[in-house]
Amino acid sequence: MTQSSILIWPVLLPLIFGTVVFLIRGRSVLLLSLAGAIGTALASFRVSHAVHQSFTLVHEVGGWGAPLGIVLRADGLAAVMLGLSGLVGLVISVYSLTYFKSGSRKQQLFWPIWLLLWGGLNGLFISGDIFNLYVTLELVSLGAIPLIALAGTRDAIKASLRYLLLALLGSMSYLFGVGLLYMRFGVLDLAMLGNAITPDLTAYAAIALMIGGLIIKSALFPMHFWLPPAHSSAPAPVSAALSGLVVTASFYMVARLWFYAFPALDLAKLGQLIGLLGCGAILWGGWQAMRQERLKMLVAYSTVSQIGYLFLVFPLCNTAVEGSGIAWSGSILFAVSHAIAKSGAFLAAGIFINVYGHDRISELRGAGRQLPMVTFAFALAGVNLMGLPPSGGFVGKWMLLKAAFITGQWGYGVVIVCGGLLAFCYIFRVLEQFMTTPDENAPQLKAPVVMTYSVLSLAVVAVSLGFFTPVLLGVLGVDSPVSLVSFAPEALLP
Amino acid sequence: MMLDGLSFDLVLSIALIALATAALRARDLFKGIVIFMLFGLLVAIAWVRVHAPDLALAEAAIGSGITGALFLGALSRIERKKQRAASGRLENPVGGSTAGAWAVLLTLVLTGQLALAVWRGWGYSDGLAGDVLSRMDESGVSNPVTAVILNFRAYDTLLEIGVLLLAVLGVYVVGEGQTVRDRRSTRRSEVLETFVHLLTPAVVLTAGYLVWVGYKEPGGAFQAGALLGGAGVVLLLSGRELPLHSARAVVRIALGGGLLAFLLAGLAVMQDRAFLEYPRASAKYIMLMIELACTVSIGAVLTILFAGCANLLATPSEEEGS
Repeated sequence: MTQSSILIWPVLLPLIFGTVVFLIRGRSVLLLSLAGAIGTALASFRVSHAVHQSFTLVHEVGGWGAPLGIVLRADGLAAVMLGLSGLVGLVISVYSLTYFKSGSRKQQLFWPIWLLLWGGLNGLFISGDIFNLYVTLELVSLGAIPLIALAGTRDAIKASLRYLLLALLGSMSYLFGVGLLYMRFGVLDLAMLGNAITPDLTAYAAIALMIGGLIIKSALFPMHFWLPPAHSSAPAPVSAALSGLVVTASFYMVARLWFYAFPALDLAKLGQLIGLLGCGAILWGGWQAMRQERLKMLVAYSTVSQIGYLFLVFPLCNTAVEGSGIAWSGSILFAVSHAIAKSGAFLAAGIFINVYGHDRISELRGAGRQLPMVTFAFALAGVNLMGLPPSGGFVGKWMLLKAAFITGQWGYGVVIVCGGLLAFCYIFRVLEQFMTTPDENAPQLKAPVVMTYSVLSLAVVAVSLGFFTPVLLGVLGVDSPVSLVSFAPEALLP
Repeated sequence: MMLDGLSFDLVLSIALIALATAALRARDLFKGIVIFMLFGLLVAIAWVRVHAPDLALAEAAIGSGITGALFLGALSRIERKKQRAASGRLENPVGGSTAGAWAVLLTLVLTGQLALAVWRGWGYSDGLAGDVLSRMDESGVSNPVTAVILNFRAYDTLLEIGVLLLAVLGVYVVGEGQTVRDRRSTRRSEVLETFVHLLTPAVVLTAGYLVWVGYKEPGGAFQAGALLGGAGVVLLLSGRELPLHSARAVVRIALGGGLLAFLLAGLAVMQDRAFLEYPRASAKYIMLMIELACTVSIGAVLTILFAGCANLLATPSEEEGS
């Protein structure tokens, strides 16, 4: 087995275990699913570690190599994303062990779908081929849709159907762009396309179609409308996977194309347009989150808002301006910390629903007294969403802010700060309810142990992510498309 | 001869546009579906005209046949629902206008691109056709399409088989939980019975032949699987009880077998090679084995998709499961 073979395992393991847990029935389903989840996470961490230690890993599937075959590449960016999906995926899996009723139909259907979806995500992160990216994206979307419907409610099925139609529209649009690029430039390999591409009408039409399709899939404002009903009506671990990983994956694809396949093109105007949409997302999502009555809807609108920050990298990271590379590291860091915190928030909301039977914010008074650990975890995730130090959200936001100043685009800075204030408002609206003293005769409630501690672990990682910034930037720096600012504490100062 | 081909293509193109318009504008859904199936057949002929017989086979079997059956299955269900519910209006979850706007946009872009290509005489790339042909002898098969699908880009195909499995799991998620009170009683007719008796073995045989011939001529797992799926649909329509539920082990093996075989084959060759890098001597047989397993899976997937559409998966209400 060649050294680069370690690259294929984060894709193979979940696919194998996913198929096997579909084939078998009985008690061993849970055991094998857990084994698959642990194996997948370890395989992902191993790749991240290897990339950090040395350099970009390349695996030529089938041994053909580009341009004929498909090449898998794990550079710094892919390694960060693999590590993220390993961590969040593992916690979601542990949480799901007890979330679904043992031996139920839902449990039996959840595991194969979730593991296949996870395999698709990992495949997406390491894919070096624009058509293969499409296939992995399909695997992710078609896994996400039934998982939403798994909730079984009318709302969930309706939301999943709407998601299906929009996701197909997004995929078709992307695939159309792939077709145009292949017709014009004759390659599918990302790196080769990056060298071959020339600025002409076909290239720009393809880029518009591909990025337009991916914007639908990442629910960037104003294409966000499908997200809140879908993410809020899904079962809690599914909401966590969708808001944490699935949305991040389509943002990742835009970033991958933008900085690796299209660097030869002048996309400044498109970048500004995407930046405007990002600003709209930050403000509109935050405003809507403040007005929600239900906890999961609030968290879902918070996702709409935070997605906006990720897309600010496109106007802010301008290779012509020295030092604007900080927007690149900032947005990736933000993506990582948002994924962790948002999964934590959704998993916590799932425990509230599990215990109280509903998630109406106004009736969750006193949850802080009754479920202290879960409330604590939710608050920690909230700290990250608000962007307070030492969370990863703080560092990411700070870097984006700094990039706004360096490139002289002050307007984005104002929106970044306003978005933080909105997050402050909507998180504190929830925490305020949690912290009120419950009625005298409120019963003592017991939170499910495994679920509580898995949420807590995510929340703690999210809030302490700021301390790990140098490590993350170290990994991200491997074959980075832009020169990263060497990380030193003073680099964060304005 | 030249002129004949050109006028044929012209008529074909006009017919395609006319049928597409008619299918979209049909008020009656049933009529729309029938026109759509006809459209699919003409698209298949169009593929033949541009020398893509593999695509033509797939289009005829999947694009026209199976998709049409799925539509008709869904339609019968909608009609029954309409009869039950007083308000016959069906909700449109996205808004046809959004989808319509995108369709118009995509069509405009493509037309613009083609116009540009003709006008400027742009040398569009031949793509990777040259690379494929120059390395055919290493692939173990002599049909370039099969070489691409099962060898050069086998990884894509593997993941697509995963997508199919997910699609069927999705059908189980929404289809199995429901209960039906009025299990439709199927009328059996002598003609249909005889037809099914004759047809089914012939279809299975043809599917096997398509897989086998795929290594040198048009054919392969997708076309063969679509045929099997078609046979499954006919069997279901004739009132046969097929194992469909995910509770049956045989169903799960049929559905998951393709992906598992693909994965294991890819792993088995991996000692000192890359994933899915077949040894050249046995490449043909490995691919054949993968294709056979995938054919069964594709056939099973398509049959169950149809069963889901036609509400044959739902549990009868008296023995409602968890």
